[in-house]
Amino acid sequence: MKAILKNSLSDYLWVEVLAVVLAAVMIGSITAYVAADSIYKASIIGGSITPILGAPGQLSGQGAEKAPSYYAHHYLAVKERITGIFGSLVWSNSGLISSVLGIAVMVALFPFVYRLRASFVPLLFRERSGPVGVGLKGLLLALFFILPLFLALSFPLAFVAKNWLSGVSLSSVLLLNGILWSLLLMLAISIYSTYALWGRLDLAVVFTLLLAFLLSGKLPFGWETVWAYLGISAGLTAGMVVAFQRRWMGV
Amino acid sequence: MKWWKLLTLIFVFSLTLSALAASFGMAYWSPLKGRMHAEIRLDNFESLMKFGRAVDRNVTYSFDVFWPMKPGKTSLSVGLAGVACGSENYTVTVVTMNGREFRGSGSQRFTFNRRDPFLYFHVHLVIPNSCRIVPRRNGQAVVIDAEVG
Repeated sequence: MKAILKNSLSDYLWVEVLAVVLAAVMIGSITAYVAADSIYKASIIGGSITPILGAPGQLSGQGAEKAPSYYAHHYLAVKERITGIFGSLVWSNSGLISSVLGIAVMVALFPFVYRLRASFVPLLFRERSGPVGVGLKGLLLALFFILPLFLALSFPLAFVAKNWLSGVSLSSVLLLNGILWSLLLMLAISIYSTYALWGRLDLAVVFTLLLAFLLSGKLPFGWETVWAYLGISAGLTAGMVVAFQRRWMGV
Repeated sequence: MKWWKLLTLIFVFSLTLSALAASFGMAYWSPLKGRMHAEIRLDNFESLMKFGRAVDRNVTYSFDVFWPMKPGKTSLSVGLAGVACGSENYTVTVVTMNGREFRGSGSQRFTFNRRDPFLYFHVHLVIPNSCRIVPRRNGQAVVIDAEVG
């Protein structure tokens, strides 16, 4: 691992540092933008109990007033509703989020993978190929590099959960976090596998963006989306292992 | 440079910058106001007053208000516009989101603390049937002013 890291980053050390930082800031700010916009809209939609057309009146003795604790419970119920609306409002921007995530992952991974792929490129040019282990260890290292991006993705959601939605069950925010994390994982594996296997930048860009756009627009806001993304990442990893294995066996 | 030093550098630097971007971005992009003003019209006020006088009952209004608003110490003033009361003034009861109850007669000003960026309260008005209706362009209304700070 140390050797791979040293070899692939010998010329591009500071470029890699800069790339990961840039990608983390990109992801942090786009998620913050979408989350801030969505929580504001969700609090207007979900808490729309201000009488706009006029307050209803009656004569005294016609209806009993509720106890003060009722309103404390009702406030929590409104916050629960806002939490549900928040998750689906954020996911309704899936096109924006998945394209920015895809580009950020490309920015973060290319300085590292650029040198690494040199050993795998060449089905086309019949160069010597490197051992299978290097590819898989490289994948692990790449996932390690984008670990800050996962955390950057969660910062704004944690901010919303703490400052806006404290005291209610946050299943919707957890689901949103799961969807975004599995999306980031899928995009990272897709970029790594296309670039490491075929060594084609254009192919990596087209394949990843197609995967992100075609899929994210269709998938609903639910746990099945997480399973779909995880399944695709597992499939891509399996495909990569099979390809490396064939290369190794000299097929 | 040692490789673990490099990884630590990447981690610390990117996490700090993205946390800064996230916190500044959240504050910038969620446009929370620190001051709200609303006039909520009282529905069928004149006919309810007439009817209340006939059967000797008071008129009550009760409604909820929910606004996104900056958290902090909030002062809330609730009053009626377009109604003039004599010796017996109208009473205002406000129940805040943590179940606290404020009560008073006439135009009232309450102060309480909020931690969430939402303002939610319930207003209950009791208007005695001896009050007079003052003609007003927008009709009789509850005037609510909320201010943080």
